[in-house]
Amino acid sequence: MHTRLLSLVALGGLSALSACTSGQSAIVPPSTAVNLAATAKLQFAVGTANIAGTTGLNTVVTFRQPNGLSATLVNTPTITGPAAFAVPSGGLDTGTNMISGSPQVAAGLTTTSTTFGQGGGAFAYGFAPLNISQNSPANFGSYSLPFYVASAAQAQYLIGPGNTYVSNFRDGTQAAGFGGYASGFTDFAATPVAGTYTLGVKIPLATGSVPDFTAAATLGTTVPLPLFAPPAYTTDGAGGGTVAVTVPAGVTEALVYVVDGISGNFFTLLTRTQGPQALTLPGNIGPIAKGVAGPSIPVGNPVFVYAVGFNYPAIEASPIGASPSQTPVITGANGQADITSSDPSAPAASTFE
Amino acid sequence: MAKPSRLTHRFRASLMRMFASALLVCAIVVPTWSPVLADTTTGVISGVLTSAKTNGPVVGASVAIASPSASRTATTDARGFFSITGVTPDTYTVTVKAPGFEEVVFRGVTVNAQQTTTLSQALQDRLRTIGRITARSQTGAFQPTQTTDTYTVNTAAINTILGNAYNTNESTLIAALPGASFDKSGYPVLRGGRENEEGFQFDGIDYTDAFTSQFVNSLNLNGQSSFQLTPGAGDAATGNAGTGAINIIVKRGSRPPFGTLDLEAGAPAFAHQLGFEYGFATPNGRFSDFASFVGYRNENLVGYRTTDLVGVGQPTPFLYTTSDDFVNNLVYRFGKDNSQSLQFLYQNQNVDFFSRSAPGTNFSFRSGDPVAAQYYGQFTGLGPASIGSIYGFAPYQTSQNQTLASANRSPGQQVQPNATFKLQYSNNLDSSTFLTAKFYRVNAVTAFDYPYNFSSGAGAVAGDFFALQGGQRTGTSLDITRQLNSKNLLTAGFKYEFLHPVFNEPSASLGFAANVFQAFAGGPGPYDFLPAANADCVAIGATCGYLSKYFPNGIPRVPLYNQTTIINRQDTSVFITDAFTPTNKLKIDAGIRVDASNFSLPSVNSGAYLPAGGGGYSSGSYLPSVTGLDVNGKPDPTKDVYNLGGNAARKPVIVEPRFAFSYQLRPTDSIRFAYGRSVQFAPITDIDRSVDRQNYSQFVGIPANATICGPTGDRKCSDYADQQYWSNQNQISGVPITPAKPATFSNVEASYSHDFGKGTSVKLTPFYRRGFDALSLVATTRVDAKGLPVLNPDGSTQFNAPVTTNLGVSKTTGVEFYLTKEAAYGFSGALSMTYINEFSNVVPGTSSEDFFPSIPTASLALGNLYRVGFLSPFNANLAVSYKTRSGWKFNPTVNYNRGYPYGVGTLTSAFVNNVAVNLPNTNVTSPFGANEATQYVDPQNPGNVFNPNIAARRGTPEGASAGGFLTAPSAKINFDVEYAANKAQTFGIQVFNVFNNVYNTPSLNSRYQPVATGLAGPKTGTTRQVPLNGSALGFANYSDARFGRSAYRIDPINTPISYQFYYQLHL
Repeated sequence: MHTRLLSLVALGGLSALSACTSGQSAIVPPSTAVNLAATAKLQFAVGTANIAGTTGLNTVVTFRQPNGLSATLVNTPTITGPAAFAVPSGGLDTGTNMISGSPQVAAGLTTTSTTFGQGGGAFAYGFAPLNISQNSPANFGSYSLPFYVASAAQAQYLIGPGNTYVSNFRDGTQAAGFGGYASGFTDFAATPVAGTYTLGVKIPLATGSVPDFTAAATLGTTVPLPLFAPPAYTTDGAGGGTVAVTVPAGVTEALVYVVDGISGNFFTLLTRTQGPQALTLPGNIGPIAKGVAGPSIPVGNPVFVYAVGFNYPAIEASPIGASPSQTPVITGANGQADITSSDPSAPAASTFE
Repeated sequence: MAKPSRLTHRFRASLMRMFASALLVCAIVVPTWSPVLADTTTGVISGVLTSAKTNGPVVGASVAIASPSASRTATTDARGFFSITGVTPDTYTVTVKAPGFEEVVFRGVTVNAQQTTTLSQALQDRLRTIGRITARSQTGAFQPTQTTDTYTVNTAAINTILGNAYNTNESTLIAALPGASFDKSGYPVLRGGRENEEGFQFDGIDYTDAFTSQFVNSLNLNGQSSFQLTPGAGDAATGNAGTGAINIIVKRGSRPPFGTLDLEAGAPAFAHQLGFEYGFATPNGRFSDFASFVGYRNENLVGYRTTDLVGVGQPTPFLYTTSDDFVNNLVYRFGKDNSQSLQFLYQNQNVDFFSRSAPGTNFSFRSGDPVAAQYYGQFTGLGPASIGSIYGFAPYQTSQNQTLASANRSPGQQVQPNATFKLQYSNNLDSSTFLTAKFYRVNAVTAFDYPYNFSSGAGAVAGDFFALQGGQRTGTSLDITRQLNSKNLLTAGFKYEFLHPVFNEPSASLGFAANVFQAFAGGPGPYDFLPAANADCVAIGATCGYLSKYFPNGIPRVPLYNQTTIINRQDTSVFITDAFTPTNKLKIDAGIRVDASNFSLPSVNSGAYLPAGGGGYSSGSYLPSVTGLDVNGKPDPTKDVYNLGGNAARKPVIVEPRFAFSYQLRPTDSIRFAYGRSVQFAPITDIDRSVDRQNYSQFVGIPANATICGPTGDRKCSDYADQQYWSNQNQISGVPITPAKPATFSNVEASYSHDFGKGTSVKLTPFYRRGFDALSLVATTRVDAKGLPVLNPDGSTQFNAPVTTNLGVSKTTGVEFYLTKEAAYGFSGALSMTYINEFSNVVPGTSSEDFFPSIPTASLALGNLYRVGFLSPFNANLAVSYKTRSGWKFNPTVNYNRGYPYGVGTLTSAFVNNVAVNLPNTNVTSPFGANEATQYVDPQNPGNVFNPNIAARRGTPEGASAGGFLTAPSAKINFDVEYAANKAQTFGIQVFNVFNNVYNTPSLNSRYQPVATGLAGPKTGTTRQVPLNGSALGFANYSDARFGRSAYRIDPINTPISYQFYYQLHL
């Protein structure tokens, strides 16, 4: 009886074990994938950009999951403008009507030089150089705008504290390197041409494929918003200060940037009022140490200010907070996403304390 | 399967091959046995003879035992009791003669080492024939008088487990027994202990290396007569064995002589083996000898051999193994009735592993290697030419861009010699008193020779090394066993061992790294070694050329790192234990053991490592009373950061009570219980990690240019040699802040066993083990001069050199199951199963979790406990043999595991604003770098570290804790078919890995490019590093054979199905 028992155990064991060892694929941990085609949504808008007096093209994109977060962490966008649209300088994009990124390829393979390159993609709010790579730390960068101008004429437009939407995140609980929230627009120093602009977004995968996402937007008018004059900053001597700014007509929302020239910390003041006005930078929203916020801008530090105005609810569309909308409003009353920005390199009175 | 030794804190590999020998499965008298003997190579036969008619004792009966290896006699006392101690393991014929009774003969009485065989018999005054009395085997699961948990397998059982009698795979044998299992790395562990928390013994002597406390025999078997596994504390004779002990008993010569010639060849790779053994004894039994040799050559066939070596990360695999193992056991008996003996046991073993470079490549030393240049360039700003010009030369290297081939070097090889001897004197002072005295020495020093260690990224820091690791263990012991009366068997013993460790590790890579990392601590960095006009220095504004004026004929290259040892160790132990048998059903073992160690013994060359000026600081436990110096180099007690731990660390004394009992409920049912405290002294590698000062002698007298010396790195350096010494000591080797105390364990276990009859029995053993002062490395985060963490180029955090602490926690609960069936013909075999639930504060799945584990400081501060990641919670081993009387044997064996833990967990620990917290594990919080996470925040809206906005996951299951999921169950199945044409010849074939499973367990793909949940990008599995040394290779992108484009990769590193043909001629 016991002999029989053992033999049964042996044979049963062998047959059962063969089932769990003969298939090598069984040893790979199971993985489930999101259905991007069914869940992700791409929005695209174009408009004019008054870049310190020069008219360019502005774009806004949202590419989000249902929870409002970026649909993918890697993708390759291409904007195809009307036939008359011409890219002034963008590597292989130069002279074409396409503003593009380069396909993601495995390391070691050559790729093309384009406006966005391999690193640029369409994310929750705007184009950004955030395509994540393998074996690399988290990246929270953004483009210096506008494209196709000298770097001295460019600025960063992330949204920092100083308004009711963004709390003082410089408290040591943010990821190292996180600078602020996206303001969503990407402008190009390229002459806008009325017509339809199409955005195609490719999702590169190691295996399998996902259909390309596409969205189109129409530029009905190439008349820009009025020029946004450089704002001026006056310190209050206690870590804060006042910004004198004139918001141009047509702008429904404006962001004024106050930048600490030493630390690089910046603050973003928000106004929805047109015309001349004074905005206040509180003196106590600097980096938080041991639970106490320091001065916003230490007395004596150089300060730089610049501004950008929108004809659409730009800050409301920004993915700030835990539950952003998947499809926020990204156009103004004219169906476009127009902006106007001051010259960030222009010296402004009282910018130095 | 010969096993490579493990270099401390580093690596390993794997291979294979075997042995064993067949004997009879004994069917005999009523013997029962139980452990509790000091001399771990002999056993005891005792019993009570009574009159069946009167039930009274039979007084003055003569009891004679005889086997091919020994003959002994005894006489019963007034209670009919007899005892014969110091019995050589063998199968005996026991003859009982008593006036008024007919002669009784018990045949096939097996004595095993460390066991007491009980022969109690009621004699009849008119006995006709007792003949053969059927009784249980001593290797079965039912052992009613066994008090502690011990599993003994004789050659027959070993043969069933291993298939072929000359299968030498000790790992397989160990893991086939209850309580033992393979860890995730393929090494056998006991009840979930670490690899160096188990005591290996060879014929009763300690058999672990003097530096790391790991095995010394490459886990090869040769010449064993039996094998014992004692998970848990064992009896009081077992010491410094941590979580359990393993003892190999060697055969002895006997008469008539015996011998076997073994010839083997394997396919598809040509693994071939020659083995032979011969044992004999002179007619008078005074002189006997046993010799055994097994040699094999193995062209390793592993799964990746059929694929691209580079693509599966094995450009320099072990491709060839050689092993020669010789054992000789010489015994000379003398004195009245041969009551005294001298034994000289000798083993000489050499197991070597060789790797070759991948086809078509020719590696260069690291100074000419773009991988090294790129890695260090990211920290220093220096270009490849500058780095190559100052990068140290590895041993035997003569020029910067020299290839390994031109220096006649292979990318890696490992040589593992082991020379062991034991000289033992034994004296049966009388039939019930046995004394042994031993002197022995184990000399095992492994040479790790890796002039080019394939690695990239942060791993490039350990890009080359040549290490000698091991040492000599010399010991002497005295044991005495005395049967005080019919109820008390007293055993006592003393042992002394002297451990001389050997460790030398010259490494150009680590020497360079020491200088690079030194810069983060405020040192000048490697720039001192470059001329001031160096173009890179000029370009990046670095201050170079400091050493130029001291070396007008050329600045030497950055000196090598060279770790060595400066202490020896003494271990001393005494024990006494009594086996008390008040009734024939109850047996109680009570004993106490004291283990003491002394780590404060400077080795003969220790002075060489002290500062030339007698500055008074060193590392390790051999420390002067004042170690701190002020900025002027003067002794400053307030700067003494060492907590020497007093004698608890330097001269620990551990008292270990042991108590156990067994009770036989019925003839077929028995229970037992045991409690014991056990100890594992810290391996010397945990205590002594000293850099060789002589390495920097050429810089003696050159003024230092940094204040980075001393154990805390803030002391003035006496000169540039001192500066180099402390750079290497602090940045690479580490300074033990608190010398480690021994790890101790409290073991509680109980068993129920049942005899089904007909050779079938079962045993169930639940157990619990609590570890105290468990040894764990702790490495703090490396910070720069501003106090900010230093990151690797891949974003992972850099850590200071880890130092050993007693901060580990270990709690283990489990159940062992053992079912045995023994028969000379037909089915026999054993089924063992072990369930283990073990908790530790080591993060599961982290590097070296099963050897020298380390604990992240944040997790340590939080007191996090995890279920360990290196164990499968359930293991089973089935070994079945079916033998026919016509000579056929069919022998399948299955080793099964439920799966090993994987996953990095959705939670991790980190310091946020200098406070340790548990928080979501994402690519921004993982302490092991962004590539060791499975959750990725939205870069435009990451949330904060406590409430991250996860935009993508790898899509694989993840528990809250690391190791939260199990891989798929896996089994390795072998099958042996053997035909014994006659008593002289055996033919066989053994098939290994019948189902051809070549993959090991999954590990997180560190080159994963997340696109969206469950979707990987095209760069997954690829690397951004420059092409590997030898551009023909390209760099090591993961191939599909490695599942390189998945969230987890799996390496095909196991041996695929193979066939071993063998022929054995029995003399």
